[in-house]
Amino acid sequence: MSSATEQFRFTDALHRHKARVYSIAYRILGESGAAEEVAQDVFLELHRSLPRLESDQHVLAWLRRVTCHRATDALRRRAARGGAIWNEPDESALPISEPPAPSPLMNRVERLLFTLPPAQRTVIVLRYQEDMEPEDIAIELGMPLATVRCHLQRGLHLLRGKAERTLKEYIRD
Amino acid sequence: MTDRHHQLDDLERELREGLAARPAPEGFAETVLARVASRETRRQSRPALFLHWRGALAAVLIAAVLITAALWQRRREQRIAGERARAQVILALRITNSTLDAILQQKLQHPTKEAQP
Repeated sequence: MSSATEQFRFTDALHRHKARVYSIAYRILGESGAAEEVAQDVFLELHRSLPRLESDQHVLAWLRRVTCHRATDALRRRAARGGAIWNEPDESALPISEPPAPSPLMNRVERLLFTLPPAQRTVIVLRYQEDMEPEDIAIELGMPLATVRCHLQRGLHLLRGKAERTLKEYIRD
Repeated sequence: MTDRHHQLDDLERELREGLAARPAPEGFAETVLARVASRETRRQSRPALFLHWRGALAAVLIAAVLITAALWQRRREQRIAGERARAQVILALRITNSTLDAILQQKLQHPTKEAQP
């Protein structure tokens, strides 16, 4: 495949998937600056790996997997620098998401999501943002299916408790 | 149980709606393309630099091999010269020894000659 064709494929993938990749990184990291950095690095890595990825489906699966792994690595680096990977935040104390979410519902859902531990957050993002089945999430993350199901159930259980207080109020409003 | 399922369905629906993809930051694609272009430029300039360093490295390696060979040859010559000198000393000692033996034998065979004034 010629270099021009590869460049076209890359630019096309960048424009089609930039929001998806940035959203996954942002929702795992909970910080827009770090998410943008991770998303840029993922696309730079895609540029190198693109000749090996045969189809658009491969590109999409690759982007999801690498974004999750790079965002998790960034969380670990943050912990190594002295920051916590995750401290259960008091949702009332959470800042309004930065940059502002396009809708109030997204803002509330993201604020709830940031209160979950990273593994549960990652699985829930892939399940509900990417609409992936637990079996596919297990393959993408290299996790046993039972672990994925457990993260989903626990995450949903935690979210349900919090959502009863916030989302229901929002829906009533 | 039905109520719990209903709650879960509501929550799942809200999660699906609330977790729609966020737009990437302004200028995201342009920044990525600029970083790709910059990396490509660096990668293209790297082979010339690598060849330059490779030539220098080869010259240093050749010089090191030549110096080692010269040092080894010098030590070998010194060792051979030392062995020759040692053999000559041993030969000289043997000659001296046999001469002294001969003189001693002569003295033992003719002891009276020495006693005469």
